[in-house]
Amino acid sequence: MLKSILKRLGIFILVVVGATALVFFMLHYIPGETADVMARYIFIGNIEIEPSSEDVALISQHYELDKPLIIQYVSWLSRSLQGDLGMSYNTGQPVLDEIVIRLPATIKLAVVSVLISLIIGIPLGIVAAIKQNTIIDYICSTGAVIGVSIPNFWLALILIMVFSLYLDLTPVMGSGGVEHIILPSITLGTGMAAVTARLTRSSMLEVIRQDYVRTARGKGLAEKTIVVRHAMKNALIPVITIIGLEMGHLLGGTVIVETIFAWPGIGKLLIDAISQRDLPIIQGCVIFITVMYVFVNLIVDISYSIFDPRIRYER
Amino acid sequence: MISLLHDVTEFGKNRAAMLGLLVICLLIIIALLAEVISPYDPTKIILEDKLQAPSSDHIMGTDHLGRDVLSRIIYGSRVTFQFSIIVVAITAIIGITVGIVSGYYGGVVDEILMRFVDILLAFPGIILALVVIGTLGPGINNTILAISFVGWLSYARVTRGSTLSIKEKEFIESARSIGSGNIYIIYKHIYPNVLYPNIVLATLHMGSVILTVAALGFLGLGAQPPIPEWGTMLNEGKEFLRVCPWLSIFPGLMIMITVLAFNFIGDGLRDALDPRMKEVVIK
Repeated sequence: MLKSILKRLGIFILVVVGATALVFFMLHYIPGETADVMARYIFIGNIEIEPSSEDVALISQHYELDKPLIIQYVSWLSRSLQGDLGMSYNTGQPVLDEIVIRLPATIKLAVVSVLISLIIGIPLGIVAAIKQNTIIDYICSTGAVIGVSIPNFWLALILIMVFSLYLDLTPVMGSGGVEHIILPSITLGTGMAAVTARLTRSSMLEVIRQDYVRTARGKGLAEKTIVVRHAMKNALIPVITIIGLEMGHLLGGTVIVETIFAWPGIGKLLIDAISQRDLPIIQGCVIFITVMYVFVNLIVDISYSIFDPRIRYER
Repeated sequence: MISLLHDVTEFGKNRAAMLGLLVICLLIIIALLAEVISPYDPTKIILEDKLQAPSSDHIMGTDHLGRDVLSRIIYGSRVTFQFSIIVVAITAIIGITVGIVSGYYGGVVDEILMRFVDILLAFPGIILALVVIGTLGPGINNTILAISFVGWLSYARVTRGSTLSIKEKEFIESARSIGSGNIYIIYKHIYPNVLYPNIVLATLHMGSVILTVAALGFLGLGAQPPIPEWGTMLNEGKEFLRVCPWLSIFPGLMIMITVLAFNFIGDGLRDALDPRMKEVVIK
């Protein structure tokens, strides 16, 4: 048990270092990223004004731009471990502050979306499995395929069109009250609900064929008791992994959905930074999102082996 | 041969899959015959015709520059197919090659390749594609590059898994005992046997690539105007959501129909070819 957790931790660290290095090298490959440009942004805040040569030298020294990329990366890594992710070119604020301010909005949206997806997806998956190969199963399964096929940016536009513009029930964009989170979370939740329903269905189908379910049925238990007490409890274990998978869907999706609904989260920060070529922010956001994703999956992996003893013993 | 025939009939019995196949064939024909069937020039700007509602002259209306939406949708299918086929072909070739090498040779090579895959899998959704575009700038070519950068991972993992189980089979051992070389065994025995799961994967991947190309277009980072790409059209149309909803409805509907068709085919193929294949997560 401890050994497998340690092994996962090792892979986690390797992946974090590898992923951050990849992003770092890719973004620093850009020719525009020089001490000159950085000095213009950091000291003057205006790209048009020529910086003094002392400023350029200072920047070059501080960020060790004259050293090889690998050395730059190592010193960047040690700085970021101390919480220094650099300064935004655009606002001059520390990148970490910019991210932390927006974190609650993204987490709020993520949590509500996951809840929506589980509330819709799990019952649909269970019903589809119990009524396998009936019309109900086909409707649920087809609905799930449609759910993953709808582009979330288009769904967002349609929802805005119907609920905000025609029915005037919800605000078009922005954040604040409960009414603001409804459309963005439904947009994000729909695709995830579809994935949840499909995985719940296949996991439930597997469990229903197990001996202990047959035994329960043989004992003459009511079908409802069998489903709720025996089958569902075990079928939902793999669904834990869904939360890990959904995080990927979610963190990718928030980028688009936050942009459409002007939701002040990390995803919108990233897209704005890309259009403004604010490299420290791009780097900070991508690394923050990625580390968060890998970390959640690590937690999911570990909790999975706690919930399902079979996995613990197999390794 | 009998098993192939069996698979084809299995697939043929799946109504959703057949519907998907029909839709895709139709769309491919539309894409190929774009010049013939589109009523107007998709990029011709006629400002006095701008923002017209759907009518008999313009079945899907016109956009803010007076361009016919139907014609742009028709040419858009060409753009979509062209780019998604390129991406799927590139990523499938890279992924299958990496997967076979990794699974067949094992050892240090396998370890290094798979850790690299782990690192790339660490990026959720389109995030890494956004980094590539953030580095190289927006545009359709960079979009293809960005999506291909992570697209091969699923192929590599699936192929590696299949290769690992196939290389333990007896016919591989007998091939080796009669003196066949590694390259010959890979080409003659491994490759044909990993093809099925990859065909399923490629079909489902088409859907996800189309979605990503459109998403990047929608964010203004993919195909740039005036290219009639469906996502880019949505991006241009969303400014007129209140007054001209048709600009946002039709391109999105096309994306959904196309993706849905590929997903139906992919699910049908999986059930027919490889029922044991579980839900695959496609990046």
